[in-house]
Amino acid sequence: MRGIYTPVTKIRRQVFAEIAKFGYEGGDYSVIEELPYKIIPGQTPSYRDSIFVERAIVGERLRLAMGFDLRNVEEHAPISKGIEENAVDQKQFNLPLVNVIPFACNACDETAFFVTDNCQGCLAHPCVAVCPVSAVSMEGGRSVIDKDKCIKCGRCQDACPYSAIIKRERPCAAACGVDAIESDELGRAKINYDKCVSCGQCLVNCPFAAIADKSQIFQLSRALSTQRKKVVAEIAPSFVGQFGPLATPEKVIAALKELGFCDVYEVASGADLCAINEAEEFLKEVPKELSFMGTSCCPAWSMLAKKHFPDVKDHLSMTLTPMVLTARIIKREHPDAQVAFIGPCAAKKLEAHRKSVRSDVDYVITFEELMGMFAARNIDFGALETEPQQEQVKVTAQGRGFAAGGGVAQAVMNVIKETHPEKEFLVDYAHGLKDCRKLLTLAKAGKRDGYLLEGMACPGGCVGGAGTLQPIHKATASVQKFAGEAPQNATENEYAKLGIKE
Amino acid sequence: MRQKVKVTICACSNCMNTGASEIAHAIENLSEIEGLLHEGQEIQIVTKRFAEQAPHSDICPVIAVEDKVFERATAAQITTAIIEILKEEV
Repeated sequence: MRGIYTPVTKIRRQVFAEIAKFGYEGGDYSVIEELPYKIIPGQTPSYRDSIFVERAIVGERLRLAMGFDLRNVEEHAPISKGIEENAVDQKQFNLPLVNVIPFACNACDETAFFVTDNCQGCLAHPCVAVCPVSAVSMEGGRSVIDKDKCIKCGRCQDACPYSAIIKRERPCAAACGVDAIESDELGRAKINYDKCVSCGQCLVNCPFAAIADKSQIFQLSRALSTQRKKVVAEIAPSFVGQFGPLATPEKVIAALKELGFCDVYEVASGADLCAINEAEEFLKEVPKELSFMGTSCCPAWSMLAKKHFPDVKDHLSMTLTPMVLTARIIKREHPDAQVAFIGPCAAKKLEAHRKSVRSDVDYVITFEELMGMFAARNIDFGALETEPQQEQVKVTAQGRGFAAGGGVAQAVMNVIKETHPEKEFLVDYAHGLKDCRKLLTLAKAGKRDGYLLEGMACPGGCVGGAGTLQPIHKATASVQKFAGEAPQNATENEYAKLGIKE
Repeated sequence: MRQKVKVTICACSNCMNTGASEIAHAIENLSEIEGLLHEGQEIQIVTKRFAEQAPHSDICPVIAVEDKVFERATAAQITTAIIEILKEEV
């Protein structure tokens, strides 16, 4: 539902803005108990049976936005439970990242086909003829589906000339590319964390706002407010165009400084290094050591390989991700600073939680969460003064192009073409977890030998991440335009040649 | 019929956070609805900060269709207003 402002969007963004404001202002923690009344005012419910349930759900969302665990619904606890330990200016994070708020879930039916009133009881009734298990019959002048026999192949739906047969799916389950959405004993959605790769697409697609991920905006806002330590922002290439028409890249950088960040780096610089390293790795490993190589930068794609395709998990590049490479550049230049990654991605929060990355990246927030911080601080993009950005690291069109589907493989390919023009190889892409699964299935079967494979868990690549604000096609166009303004190609990146790789 | 409608959208962070950007998409999408706009008709979208409304976090998003200012605007409200103006005889 990207690009459509719904009550779900409204509540989610209000929660982020209020928590960011609370983080900046600090003060009496009991104020948090009043926020559900501010976000859901009045005496009558708008969307559910009871206004008390609506406020209780907002209470859980507020907790998740502060990085806390959900409360146990069977025990009394204030929203602020645990706030003393967590109201600090450093990251607080416990698994799981993505959570279903059980009493917000509509307990939607699992996938099923239904015959609607559009059925005309036609003479042809092709729905009956095409069903391979005789689950469809004509009763009382209309088509009927026997749910016990139905194998959900959808042939009846395709054959109906009146579009009278519909498929109803749980939106969260339909969006999940790894079948991680199951049901609890009350029929409500439950995430199987053994399967989940934390891409966040379920939370984007739940129309009841029953799924949310934990945020770090509270602790980040505290850090920016106290200024106990300097905080440097690293912003992912898909940021362009996310914050509205007045928020040009220069204005976004100025706005980040207004929020309290001492400096801002484009993650595109780390993306350039990533492309160079992956190209070297590909040339060295494929086909001698590895039959194919997958890119490394999408954490949900990497997790998909580890959890669902363990036989080929070692075929993914070992190169550090652009987030980590950029963080290391920053920590080298600002050794005392904390680093906040700002991007489109929910799964990056988990990547930053890995033991090997914790010391590099201190906070991860999404564009949507950043928008809440901008709103909390009343940032006025129109009035912001921009100054010429000091160029910390030169970035290339390819580095900026990582954000759109196909961009990573293109960047690696360009490096190889530049350095080893004689090298012949093939490239394949997959965007969206379902397609990523298909691609890895083919690769595992030996049908992608010699290939460089780009996998992106979100539709359209990072521009379709769970934490983005703009429709994918618009975001892609903005990324491509901004990439076109970058001056160099990857192998001319002087900074990369000057030793950052070391 | 009117040939042009001017829509002014406040692009401050509070308006963007409360749906101004999505309303802009809804307006842009009007041209894709077959038969809705007649040949030569144009919807001009202008983005700016509504300085006279500052600060206005409690009435966001603020959007004007020609001279009429909508507070707490919704996509349906704005697109309906645009279509009504485009139908006006001049």
